[in-house]
Amino acid sequence: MATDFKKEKVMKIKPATKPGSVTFELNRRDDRLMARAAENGASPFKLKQILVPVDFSEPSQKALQYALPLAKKFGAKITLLHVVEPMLYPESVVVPPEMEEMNLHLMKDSRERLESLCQTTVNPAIASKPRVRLGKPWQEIVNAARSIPADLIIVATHGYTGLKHFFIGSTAERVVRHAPCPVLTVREREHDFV
Amino acid sequence: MKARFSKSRLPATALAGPNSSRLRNGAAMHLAKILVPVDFSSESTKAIAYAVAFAREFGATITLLHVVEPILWPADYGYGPVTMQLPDQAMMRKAKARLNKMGARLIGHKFLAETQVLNGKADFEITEAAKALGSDLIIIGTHGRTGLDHTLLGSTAEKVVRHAPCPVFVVRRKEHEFV
Repeated sequence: MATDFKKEKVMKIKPATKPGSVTFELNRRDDRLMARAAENGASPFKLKQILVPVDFSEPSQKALQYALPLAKKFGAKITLLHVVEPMLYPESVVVPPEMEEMNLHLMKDSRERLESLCQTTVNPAIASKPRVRLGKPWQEIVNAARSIPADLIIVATHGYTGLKHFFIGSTAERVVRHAPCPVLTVREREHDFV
Repeated sequence: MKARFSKSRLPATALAGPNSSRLRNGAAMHLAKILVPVDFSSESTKAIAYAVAFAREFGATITLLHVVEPILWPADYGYGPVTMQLPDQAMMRKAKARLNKMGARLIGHKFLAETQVLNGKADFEITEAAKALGSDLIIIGTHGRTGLDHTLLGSTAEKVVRHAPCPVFVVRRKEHEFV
């Protein structure tokens, strides 16, 4: 939070109801947080950047489905992120040029798909940016969240692998663990509020 | 093309279908019930702070929930793995009083729906309560009182994220905040 806790008073001494005594009011951190949340008559939400990792599966479309009304309500920008996982052969130390070409081709393809997704599903009034990264999905998602910097990540619990006997996929789980900001997890079949 | 759509819940495939214009414009969000599991740690107070912000924004009400784990009495004389599970009544009463005080101080009667103290295993009781209440959102901290630093996600939060019947909003100790 943008607060310098050193500057804020740690303790306040107030006269109490009983004459001749004082009360010590400890300015605890959570009280300051609550005060901040309560003081604004206007929206206390400073939600300006939402990161939505997408793998073009139906569950991940749901994450976008949650992001749209939130972005509209708080005037936030959505970053649609797709991570291409590079294919590596274990024996090769140097990535052969054909592999590199394929990775670039996949990235270009993904960018086009993301852009068409932006056009078809996102209202032009909502600012959205497509981004494609190469690497391990959860790592790139967390890095993107740091670099934007994202205020919120909305991630679907499952993706295209959709191994249903796991209650949450590995990418979503790792994103929840390592994210630098709050994470909203949405699942395919659930009680929705959108 | 203008059309009126009812507030029914659309499946994800509707994003591309004829209802897509409603979703493009941002569907109305019906966030009415927020469940906040609390273990009286500072992380759970942070979850309450976010819940108050959500409640204020969406006109929702908050339910504070505390789960007391039952007392396990191992059988005497080593008679096999039989244990008695007793709800800790005194602890539950204290927790209820504390929750009420916390709710009054941090949330206020306008946004606070109720406080609940349940007995059982934390993650299970939280998800069951969410189902029973019909919660729209669970807001939970990654860590609680146990707060093992080397884990990035506590066991309760992890299980709630896995088994919840609704979206889960996870907040952590040190993070980029938006409230």
